[in-house]
Amino acid sequence: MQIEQMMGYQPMQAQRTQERQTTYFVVGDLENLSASVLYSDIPEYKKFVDITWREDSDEKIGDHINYEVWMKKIGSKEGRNLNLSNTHILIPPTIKSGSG
Amino acid sequence: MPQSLSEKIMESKLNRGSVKELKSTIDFCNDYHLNLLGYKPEQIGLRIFSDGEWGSFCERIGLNSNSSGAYLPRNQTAFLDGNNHLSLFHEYFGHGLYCEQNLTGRKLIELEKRLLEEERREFQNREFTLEELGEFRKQSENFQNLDEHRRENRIKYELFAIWTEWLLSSEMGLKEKFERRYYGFSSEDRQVIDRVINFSEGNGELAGFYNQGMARRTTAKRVKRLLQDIYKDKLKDVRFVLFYGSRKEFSDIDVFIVGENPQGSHSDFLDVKMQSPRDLKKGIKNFDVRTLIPLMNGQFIFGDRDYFEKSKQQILSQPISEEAVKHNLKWSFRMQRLKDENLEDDSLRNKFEGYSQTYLANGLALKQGLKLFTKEDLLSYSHSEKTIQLKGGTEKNAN
Repeated sequence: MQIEQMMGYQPMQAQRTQERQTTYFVVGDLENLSASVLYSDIPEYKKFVDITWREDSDEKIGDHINYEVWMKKIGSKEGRNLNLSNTHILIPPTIKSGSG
Repeated sequence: MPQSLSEKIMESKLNRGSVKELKSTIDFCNDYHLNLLGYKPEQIGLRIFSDGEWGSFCERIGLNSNSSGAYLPRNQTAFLDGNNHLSLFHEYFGHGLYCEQNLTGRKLIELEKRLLEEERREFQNREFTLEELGEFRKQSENFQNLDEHRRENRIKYELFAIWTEWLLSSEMGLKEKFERRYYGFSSEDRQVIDRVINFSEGNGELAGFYNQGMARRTTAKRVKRLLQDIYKDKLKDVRFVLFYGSRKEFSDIDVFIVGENPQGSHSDFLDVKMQSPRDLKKGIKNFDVRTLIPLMNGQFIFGDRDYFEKSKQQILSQPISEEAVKHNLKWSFRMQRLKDENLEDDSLRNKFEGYSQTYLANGLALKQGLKLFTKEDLLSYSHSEKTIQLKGGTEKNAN
């Protein structure tokens, strides 16, 4: 594994990008052009992880961070919506009496 | 020679302190997974970008640069914007491990590889743009299948990765980091995330993994832990616990418990059959298949080993009675009737059909003086007996 591969993939034809304003790829680039990408695709996400949280802040209530204060701090009324609701994938084991 | 993960990290432009810290985080998480599940990420690549590089990387290959990490199923690699714990947990140990040790994840990799081969053939002799690639994918059946699979399972992928963030943050004392992230979700999403977290808090981490379809590399020790986490103090009065069944990584875990106050359980990953000592005695006497199969094939997990061994010995030494033959034939008929009553439910129909066949085979084998202890032996016996057929006369014979 080369350092350039480790540190950041460069399209093989990247040189031509600046000239034509279009990135051209060759077959070897396909490895990195995944048709499905799994990631936390939220614009706000970086704000959350980048803001320094003060340990002694009175914005923290009990074991949980005060949600409204936090939202105000990052300037958002509502957080990321992944539309995770309406899922029924979690079916806990049903313990029943009298099983034989 | 392939590089180790540590070597890969060492080559990154992170400062020495960050590299050391990252290596120790990965080692900790690998050990955690190995101890709990019996596996850890094996084939997953990890690339870490330093300041400024992430944005241009994302831009070039069409990723969302506002995220702080991504996992590409096509080359099974997690890409991170700097040394970020939550992204490492989410992309590498969440999405990465899911695609390695979960059937849904493996399917995604398989579909990606299939599409990659098709694209290689298409673009092998020419340059192309992302737009051209997009156009090609629009008409590709492989892409349609991949896209459909991704859409159908998006929630599972994302929930597992978020739950992994919670789990590893808790294990590493970084809960506050996760909490900050948690409050970034909408209230609807938080409710769903809470369900996953509450499930594993109530039933244990192993149940959390298994309930999300992760491979079950079961050992007696692991099954004991799973049962203790789920049943808690309800296990204190049991006489003994056995682990039996196929033991395949993606099959449910079959457990047989002998104890008072029978409380079996059933879920996608765990099927617990429980019998009282009185039922066990009766089952042994009648060579009942629901007692016979777990007792004679099960692996002892915990409890009174002497009681377990004596029960097994009794099966081997006691003579076969006419009553035992009739008992099995009678239950075969009952199971057949239950099957007929549940034709609409595939799972129940198959279950009762299976029981009906094994009871019938056992009854007839016993009649021939044969003691068969595995489901495979019983089914094989029934296939070799051309005369075995479930007809109206079966119940009559049993009486």
